[in-house]
Amino acid sequence: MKYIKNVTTLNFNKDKCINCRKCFDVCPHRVFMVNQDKIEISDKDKCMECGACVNNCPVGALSVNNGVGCAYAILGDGSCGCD
Amino acid sequence: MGCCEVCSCNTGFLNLEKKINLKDRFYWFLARTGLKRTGLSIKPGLYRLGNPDKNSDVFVTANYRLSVDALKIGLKELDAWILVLDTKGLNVWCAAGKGTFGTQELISQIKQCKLTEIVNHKRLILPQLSAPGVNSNEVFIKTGFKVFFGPVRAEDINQYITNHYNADEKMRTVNFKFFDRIKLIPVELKLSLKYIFFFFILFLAKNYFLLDEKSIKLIINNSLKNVIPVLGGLVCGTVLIPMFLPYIPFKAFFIKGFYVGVIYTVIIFNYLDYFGYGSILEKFSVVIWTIVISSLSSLNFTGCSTYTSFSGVKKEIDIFYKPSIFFIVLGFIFYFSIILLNK
Repeated sequence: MKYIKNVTTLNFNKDKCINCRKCFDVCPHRVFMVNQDKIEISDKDKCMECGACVNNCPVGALSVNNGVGCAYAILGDGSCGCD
Repeated sequence: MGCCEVCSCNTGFLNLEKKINLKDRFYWFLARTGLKRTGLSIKPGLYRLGNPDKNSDVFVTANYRLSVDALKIGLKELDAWILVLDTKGLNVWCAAGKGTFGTQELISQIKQCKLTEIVNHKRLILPQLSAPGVNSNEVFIKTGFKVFFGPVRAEDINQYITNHYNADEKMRTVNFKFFDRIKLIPVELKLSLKYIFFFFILFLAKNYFLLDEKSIKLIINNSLKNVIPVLGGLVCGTVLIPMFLPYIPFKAFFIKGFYVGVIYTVIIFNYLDYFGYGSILEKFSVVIWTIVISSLSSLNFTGCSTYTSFSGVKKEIDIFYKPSIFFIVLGFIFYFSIILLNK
């Protein structure tokens, strides 16, 4: 299943990438792929902005405006009420 | 707090029961029906599962009962250490998103539990979905422990270990299958019913004013009839959308709900007289309400889904939320004005 196209704020700076593949390991939606000696983005629209890759990239090659994709949280005070 | 028992006294470690018993299943039932949303936590700290020794693996999880149970089931006969973080009783993914299943909490539990004295290795296995909250580089620098992000689902853990601590593509990918989705329906429905109750109160008030003969039974009967089509709109968004999500056209959740809502109102349109919507303006009002309720409750399901992004949901809200409220209010204006005119 795929969500709305062209909305994700995921940004990848390929020049900084050291190919440690952490992002590839932690991404829950196969946004990244390994291509020879560098990581590449295979399908950006699959990104759900969870921030796992950004949090675990040791060289700061990735950035995203991460947050929860939950209408209840966005309409409220940012808290999803799941507590 | 849980760790103090492990570290400072000689009575031994906290033990986890290997078997899932009737009490655990009762807690699952409470959680899945939404009868109990809080208080499903267990004490954070280091637990023994079976008879782990200094070489046994350490698995990290949240202190939400269902998370711990899933891990226990996944580990089957394996002896292991379970490090339970204080996530305030929240599941792994949500807690990672909120930061309670986070780098600092993990580091502090490793230190509090004196994990270096308990195991001979420097390996921690975390659920992959904790990665939004855990910075593995920082954990390594501050504690010396190397974080291995394991599979998404605890049921794959044995396979993961057999694979020499490698999660294959299937293990790393989040699904949202039929059964994953229908499990969420009871809670969704329960949380949304308050909106329908609000409509019911309004119908009670309307029927009270409209009926010459103030029979309580008749007022309640008519109000129940009035509320049924609206309730149907909610069922579209909270039951049909989760069930058939991949097969409903359009990507935006609001539009999915709108689509199903329109089909539903087309089907029930000819029966609206029976539910107490006689005039065209009343019909117009109830059609608006059902479609908007279906759309909004579908939009609300983004919070349960495993693939919607913050930016995407925000876009949907920016486009659709205000018009929805406008139309709901318009429905009320039409509905009550015609009644006042008839009076």
